[in-house]
Amino acid sequence: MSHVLTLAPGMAVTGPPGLYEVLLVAAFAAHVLLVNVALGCTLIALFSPGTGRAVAGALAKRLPIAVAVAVNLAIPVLLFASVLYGQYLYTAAILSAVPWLSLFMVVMIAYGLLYVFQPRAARPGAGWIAAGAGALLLLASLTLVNVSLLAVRPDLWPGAAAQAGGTALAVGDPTFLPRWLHFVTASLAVGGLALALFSQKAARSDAAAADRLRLGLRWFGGATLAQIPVGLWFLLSLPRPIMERFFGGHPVTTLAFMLGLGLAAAALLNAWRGRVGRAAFFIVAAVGGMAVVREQVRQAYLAPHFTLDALPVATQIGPIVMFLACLAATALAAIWAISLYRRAGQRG
Amino acid sequence: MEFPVWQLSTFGGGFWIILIAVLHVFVAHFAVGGGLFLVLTEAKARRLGSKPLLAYLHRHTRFFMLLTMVFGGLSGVGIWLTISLLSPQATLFLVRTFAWGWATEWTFFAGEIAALLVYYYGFDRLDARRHMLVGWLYFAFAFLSLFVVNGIVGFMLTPGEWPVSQDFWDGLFNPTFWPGVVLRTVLGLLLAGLFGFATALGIPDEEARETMLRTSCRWAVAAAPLLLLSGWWYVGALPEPVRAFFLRRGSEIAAYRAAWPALLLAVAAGSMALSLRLPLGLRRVLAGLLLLAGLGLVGAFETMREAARKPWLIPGLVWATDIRPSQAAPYEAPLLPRAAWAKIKEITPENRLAAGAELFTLQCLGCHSVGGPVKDIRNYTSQIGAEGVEAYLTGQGKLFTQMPPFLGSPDERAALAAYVAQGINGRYAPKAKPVEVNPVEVAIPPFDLENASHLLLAVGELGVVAMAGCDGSFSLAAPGNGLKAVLVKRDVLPEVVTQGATVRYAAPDGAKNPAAHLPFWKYAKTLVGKTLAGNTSVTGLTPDGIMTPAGKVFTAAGIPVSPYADDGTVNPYPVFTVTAADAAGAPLAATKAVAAVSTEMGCKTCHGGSWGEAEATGVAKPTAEAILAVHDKRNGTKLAQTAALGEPVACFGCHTDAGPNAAGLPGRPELLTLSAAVHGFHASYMTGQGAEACNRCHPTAPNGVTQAQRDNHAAAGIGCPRCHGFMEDHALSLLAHEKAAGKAAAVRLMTPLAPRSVATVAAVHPRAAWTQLPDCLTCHKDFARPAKDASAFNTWTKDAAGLYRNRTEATGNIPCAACHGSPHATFVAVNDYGLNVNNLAPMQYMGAPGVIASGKRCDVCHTVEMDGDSHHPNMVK
Repeated sequence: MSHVLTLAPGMAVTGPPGLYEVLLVAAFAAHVLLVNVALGCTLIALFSPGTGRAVAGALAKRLPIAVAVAVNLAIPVLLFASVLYGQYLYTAAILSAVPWLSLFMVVMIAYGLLYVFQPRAARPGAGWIAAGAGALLLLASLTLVNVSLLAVRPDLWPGAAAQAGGTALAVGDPTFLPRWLHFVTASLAVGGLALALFSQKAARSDAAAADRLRLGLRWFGGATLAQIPVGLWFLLSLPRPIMERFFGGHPVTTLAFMLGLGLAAAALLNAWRGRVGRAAFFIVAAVGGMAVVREQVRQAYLAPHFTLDALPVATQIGPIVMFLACLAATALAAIWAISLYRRAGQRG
Repeated sequence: MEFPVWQLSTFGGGFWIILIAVLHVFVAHFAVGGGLFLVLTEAKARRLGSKPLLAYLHRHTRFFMLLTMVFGGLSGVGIWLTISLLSPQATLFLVRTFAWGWATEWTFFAGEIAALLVYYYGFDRLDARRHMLVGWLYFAFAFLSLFVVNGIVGFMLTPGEWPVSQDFWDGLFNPTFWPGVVLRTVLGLLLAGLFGFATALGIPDEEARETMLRTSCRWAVAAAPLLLLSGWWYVGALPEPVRAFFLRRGSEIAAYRAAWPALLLAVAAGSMALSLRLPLGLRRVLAGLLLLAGLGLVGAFETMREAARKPWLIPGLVWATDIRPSQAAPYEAPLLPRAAWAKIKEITPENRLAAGAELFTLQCLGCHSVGGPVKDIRNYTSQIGAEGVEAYLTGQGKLFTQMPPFLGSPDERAALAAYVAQGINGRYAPKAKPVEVNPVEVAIPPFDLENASHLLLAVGELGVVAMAGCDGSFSLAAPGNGLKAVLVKRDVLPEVVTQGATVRYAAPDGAKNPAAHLPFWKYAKTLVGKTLAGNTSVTGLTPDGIMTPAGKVFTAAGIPVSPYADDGTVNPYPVFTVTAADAAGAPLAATKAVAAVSTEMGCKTCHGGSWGEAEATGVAKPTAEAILAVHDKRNGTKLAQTAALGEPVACFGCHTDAGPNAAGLPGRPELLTLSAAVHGFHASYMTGQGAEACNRCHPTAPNGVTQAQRDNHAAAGIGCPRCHGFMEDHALSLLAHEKAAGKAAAVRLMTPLAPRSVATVAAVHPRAAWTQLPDCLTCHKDFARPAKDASAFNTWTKDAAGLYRNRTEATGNIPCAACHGSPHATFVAVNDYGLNVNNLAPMQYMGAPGVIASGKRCDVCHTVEMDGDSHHPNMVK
């Protein structure tokens, strides 16, 4: 099977691969944080009914928004990953087409259920709605782990190709389970931190909100501690040459990994001290670091077959400028609109 | 070729993309028009100070947000997922080429989400001015999102200058960019009105409800004509071939083309009806129907757009099969070894069907489902066997470019055809059953070599007349053949008798009533423009009659003949009796001759159906109807319809035919001649073949019921292509003549053809059908035995006078055919009908088969042995 791309019209990458890489990592970090919030908060809303289901109520109003933004942030991830790794990503997607195509429907239903859950969160029977949404989001995460793994394991393809109906799974890969658990544990941690953040302002004057803040921090602390064995499992399950990159074998990977660990530890310390904002800052930075690690691991997996240097490049500056300008303008406009909302709330 | 293929069968053919894309586009356009609807409705509500209207708008916004963000947002991602599964190569192309365009569109989508969330959640929180500003911001982002996506979607139909410049801006601002922006924006406005109806009907306050219904009506009614106009602009911006497809040529989109204005009219009328004070229940039903009409408009437009870019996903760059032409060259090279994911690389007899399935997956599944709702391959192929499918594959993408060309070797093509016919349609080739041939018993007339005063030589004008036998649908040739006779007064120096003698012909018993077996006479009025008495030909001849003196010979041109005898058997070779008498009526000589006719045309192989008669011959009605349907589809005629009304058509009535069976009709000179049209069209589907291509349509198959190619060439293994050229050569020679006459259709038919007997198309000598044919003397130089590999192709007789059937020997007295036999039946002629019937004259006059007077039998006419080459050089040899 040849993995060499044939240079032909439309096959060249229209910008520096490094720029796509940076954008991919940044978009992935933002996307996965929002996904963590959406999934983590959904699970916490489900597992923490409490008195009058206050936690569920506090989270429910934000869940659809978290999903909306997470889905939006999935687009640049899919886009930039396709630009750089389309040959691998699409092959994996086709081999696992049935779950892959159902992904958007699964998320759509989960998203819809969260809107159904939103006004009903405080009601006794609403847990089932959150359970449905949570299960679907977990299913989506399994699908993504599956395709992401298949995309970096071309050696699995010949066997997977026997599943011509598009049902190939990478569950046999030793990293499958720890990788998924790593994500779910991180979701619970970030979800907990998000709950704490959402409750921070009200906690100053509202005892129930203060309870929610503490609960959120407990989820964050507990899940982050649980991440130690899970993360270790994930790390040890990686093929040895890749794992060694984390420990000096590859400077960028080692640095990003150590930085990520340090930042996560800093987040944990700040959380224990009740400094929610700082904890959030460090966790965002830690996820950024880990997103770099993830990208390095992907490239390490693919290195025997493909490196970014192999991509034909035909850069055109104008469209890049258009994108960056529109990104800045849209960000400013969005910030303006959100600040209008926040200021109106403060005035109100 | 570099990607695996998702093995869909029922839901193949792009089912998922159609389903998801149409629904997404429906909602995504509403997201744009609906954005403007929000702010303008808010402005109206605030101007009127109407709380019910504001309450309605709040609810409508929630509905709008749920529909556009939950369904619209996710289904947009769904399109990405779907196209990357079904067309990964094209998706990668679009992703890389327009990466920054997509990224820009994403920023606008992010802006939409932020603005819409603030607009909805801030409904009661922001002051009116700021709230409306956020609403405008939403609309701006939604429009900009459409602005960018429209460019990329337009590129997939009209890439404009991009293939040359590969410049992002050329691709984005392609020829349909601006009409596309306007059309899609207006479509969004129309949908905003239609969704407005649906939500406004839920307003409890009657006044507010009626106000909103009237508002929605204005949106829909105002948008409808604008949509029609912008649609017209859009179509006008298309390149000519695509526009022609949209407006005329695309018969498969005819229903959608007609539906569009009809749906717009229905939307406008329904919208106006909704603003009337009808019962609420009825209005709800109407509102639902209007939304369906809106969905229909979106679906019809997208379907037409999709169809118009076939065979491409991206014109000129990626085929609908997701294969790039640059990957596929050379097209005739085996494909399986080049397909990264094919499990079979080489075809063997054992894996043939499995290899065919692989090729189907690679080249068909992208557009065709198997048993599914989208372009079910069975609908197109179930009526034909592997041979027919193979012909379609051979011609695919050549004359009609809705499909890409077949890629692969002839073996692969055959394997795919076998898979489609057998693996999918379960049509296994029937066990070759020998055709039943009843040898013709013929009593050879006596000839008294010593005492006979005269000798009569008679032959059929054509070796066989090929006709279709489906005159109730169409007529390819008036049924019948001609006879030609020469009367020789025997002597040492014999004379040809032209005065004072009468020559008669008579059909054998069982062949005197051709009108009972062929429908030609029933439809003669519409076919040839005049009513004919039963068994009377266009030339006024009947099965028995008197031959007309014409120079040195007697002729009977156009004797009505049928290959079906009264006893129900098939007999293409009815043996006519020809007699000569003097002025007093005393017999001078008698002989027998065959006037051969056949309906053995294997149209059914590719057009479906089965043999019309005796499981061996004749074009059956379903086959004929299918042929007319194809002619109608490709040429915009209505032949099938008129035939069904009892008015069949004569092919030679429009397509000029200089042959003897065209009933003297002039045809339409601007059209291709019948021979050029039929050969020129079918040649693209029959490339690479030998005489078997000829045998499919002509009654020349050695195992057929006619076996018309029965002359000594056939016995020597010399097939049709040695004289006429291969199918491609033959078609090119006819088309080149038409091209020289300025007929544009010839150029179109010639384009896909490459000559095989000469190096270039320019080297093919043009020839006029029927009057310019291979010259025997090209090979038989000076009437000598030709070289072993001699070929008569590309040297044509100057005109009809030079034709073998019209020529005479050197003295000008005896037609060549009188001694050598009819064309394609020259002596010694052999087929399953028997030696006698094929060699009547030699058997009668020499007692053995052979050319008359061969073996030094000059005494047949001269009464004594002769020396010299008085008839033609080398005749003694």
